[in-house]
Amino acid sequence: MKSNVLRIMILLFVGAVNAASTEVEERVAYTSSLNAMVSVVMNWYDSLVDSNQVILFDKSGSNWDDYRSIYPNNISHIELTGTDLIKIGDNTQYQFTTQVAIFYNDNDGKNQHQQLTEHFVFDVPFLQIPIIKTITRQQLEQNTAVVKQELNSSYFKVRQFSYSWLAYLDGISTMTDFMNGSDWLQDAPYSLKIGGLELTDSISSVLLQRKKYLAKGGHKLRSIDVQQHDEDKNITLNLIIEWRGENAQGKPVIAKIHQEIALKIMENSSWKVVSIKEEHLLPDLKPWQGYLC
Amino acid sequence: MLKLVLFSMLLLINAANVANAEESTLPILSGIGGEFSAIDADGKAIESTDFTGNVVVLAFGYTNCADICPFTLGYLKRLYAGLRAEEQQQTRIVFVTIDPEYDTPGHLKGFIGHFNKDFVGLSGTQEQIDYIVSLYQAEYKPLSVLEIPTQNIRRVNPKLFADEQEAKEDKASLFSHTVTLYLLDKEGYTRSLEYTGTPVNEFIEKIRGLINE
Repeated sequence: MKSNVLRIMILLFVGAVNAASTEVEERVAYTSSLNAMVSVVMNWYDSLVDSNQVILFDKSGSNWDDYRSIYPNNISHIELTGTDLIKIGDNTQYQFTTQVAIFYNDNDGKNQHQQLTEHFVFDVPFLQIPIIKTITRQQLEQNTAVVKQELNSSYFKVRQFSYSWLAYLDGISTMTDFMNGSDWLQDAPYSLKIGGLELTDSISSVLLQRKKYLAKGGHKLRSIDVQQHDEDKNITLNLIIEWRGENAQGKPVIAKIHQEIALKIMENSSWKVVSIKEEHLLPDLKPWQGYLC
Repeated sequence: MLKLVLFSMLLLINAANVANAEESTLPILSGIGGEFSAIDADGKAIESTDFTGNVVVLAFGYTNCADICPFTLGYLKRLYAGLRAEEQQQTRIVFVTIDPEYDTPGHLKGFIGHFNKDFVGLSGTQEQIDYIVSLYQAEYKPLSVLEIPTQNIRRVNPKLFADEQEAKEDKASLFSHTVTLYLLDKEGYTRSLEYTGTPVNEFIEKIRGLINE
């Protein structure tokens, strides 16, 4: 009896001390899972639009053919109109819901579209690529009000790349295939500016330096701006990212990160990162902080 | 024996909770601030690392500012007065001029001293000031291309001149500038952004939290 009471007291004490670090670990688990799941979903839709797009995630599920056969043939593009994410079951299961409008040509060559709500249930082992466990869907009434935005496959490629890069930064080292990263991760220069610190070096070296300031935490994408140049052979992505976590000394840190990523589209349509520039901006904390008097 | 162990554990839990309550939970704002050099109001070279070990409230402004700077320094005067004597010893109120050409160290000293002799005024070369402004991602802009006679500006502490004619001919630029007050911890990390709308007691609690870290 006495020893049980003592155990409980010790657990309470350890719990009080560890509360803050648990919060950071939950943030890492959540953002890395979110980033990796979105990357998988983007790869899923891209592979429906672009038949050359390689499917990069595990498709060993028994219902794979059923999941894919529901879609119409000759899809011209897919418009993502809504998303939602909820945690289900144990700590590693999530349901990622999408609302999509799928545009296709029917057998008579007429433009058609169908609207679907799809529920992707993922199992996401910590810092690993998510596995699709099930997909359920509801077909909605056809809605002529859907505005055709002519989104092409690059819409999904941009997001697949961006989210997989953030998942990589969060610690999922196996995301390299999702961003065609086997070569450029070794070659591309990475410039980092945090206050008075400015350095340019290889990605691995800069990420090591960056760890002193952003040691443990998670990246959330806030916006993407895409600029295409030279007949679309070069792309510049401007990402605004929110980071929360702790530094190497265990102190809480928040960052508003701007990354400018220059990409080149290669002959085989694969992407290669040419350079990455990162600077930390004034976080958006107060409505008046930009005022001048 | 068990009672003694349990009592000790309770004391430890209580101590951990008290420490958490008094210490600051303000996060470091990554990329805001850094090390810099400047000239203080006595004309001596100063490094930002000279403030290490003290909590710092840092503001940007200039002595010819007719509206927000006197108001801000009045607010900082009340803030500083609200700290206990031992807390004041661990706190530095730093005012960085964005017009170093006009705000010479001597003039800055008189202006700052008008509010509180403990306050620190920083000037320097234009390059030094622009670097500090960029570190804190602050801004300033001239309000017009022309300088105006300073006797037309409502000032709390006019610059001193040898004769009246020189005072009449004195001209300066007017600027708009960032109004943010940057709260820095004892290691120089920016931990919070405040302004004159922050209730003084709330601001004092944040300073206390950082002193107790």
